[in-house]
Amino acid sequence: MSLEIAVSEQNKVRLLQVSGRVDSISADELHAALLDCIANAPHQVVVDLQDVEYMSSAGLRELVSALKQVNKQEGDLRLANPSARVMEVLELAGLDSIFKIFPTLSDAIGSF
Amino acid sequence: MGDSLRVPALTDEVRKVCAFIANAAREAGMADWAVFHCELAVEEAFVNIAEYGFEGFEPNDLRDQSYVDIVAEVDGEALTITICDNSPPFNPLEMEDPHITPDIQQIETGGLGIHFYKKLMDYVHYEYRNGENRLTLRKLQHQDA
Repeated sequence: MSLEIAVSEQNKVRLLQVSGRVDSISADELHAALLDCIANAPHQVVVDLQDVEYMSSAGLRELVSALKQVNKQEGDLRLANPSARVMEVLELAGLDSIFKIFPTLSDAIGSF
Repeated sequence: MGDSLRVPALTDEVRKVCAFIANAAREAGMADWAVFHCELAVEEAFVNIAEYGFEGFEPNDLRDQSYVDIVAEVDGEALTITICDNSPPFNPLEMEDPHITPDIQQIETGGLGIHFYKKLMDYVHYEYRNGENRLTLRKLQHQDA
C-alpha cells in the first residue's frame, strides 16, 4: 500500500488527491506535496482523502502544519470525503472540529 | 507463548512492525476495525521509541545497539502486545495530551501518538524493568465497534 498524491487546480482551488497509506514512512512525501501545493501562497486548498486507507499521527501533523501555513496567509485548507479510518483518527485527535470537512470533493471546492 | 519480533529502533522498521501486529490481530480473529486500532497503536508507540528514545545515537549505532522487542500473545480474551526497548527510562503515559484549540496557530500535536494508543487500546501499562522500558497494550478480541 504505497502513497500516491496528485496535485491539480479547480476553480482557483489548489487540490491534493491523496491515496494509499500515510504513516511515519510516507508522511515526508505528504509534507513535500503540501509544501509544493501551498507555495506561492494559495488561499484555497482542498485535500481529498477518499482513498486514504490508513493515516497515523504523522499524517495528521502534516495536515495541521499545512493548515497553519495557509491560515497565516489568510486562507484555508479543507478536507474532502475522508475515508472511515481517516475520519476516525481525525475525531480521535479532536481535529474534526478544527478542519472544515466535506462529504464530497465538489462540496469542498464549492465551499470557497 | 506468542509471536515475537525484534527490530532495531529505526523508523524504517515501522512497516515491518505494523505488518507483524496486523497479522497477529487477524489471526486472533479480530474485526478489521480492531486490527486497524492495534496497528495504529503500535506504530505510534514504536515511532516514539525510534524518534525520541535514543536521541544522540547515530543510525549505525542504533542498528547495532538498540532493540525493540514486540511480543503478541492471544489468550482468548484479548490480544496482549508487549513492546520492550533498551532506551533510557521513559514513561510515555506521563506525557501531556496534545493541545487542540480553535486558535489554529496555537495547536500543538505533541503527544498525539500516545493519546491515540491510550484511547484505542483497552488496557495500557508502563513499567521500567531489568533495564528495559516495557509498554503493555491489550485489545479485547471480541467486542462491538
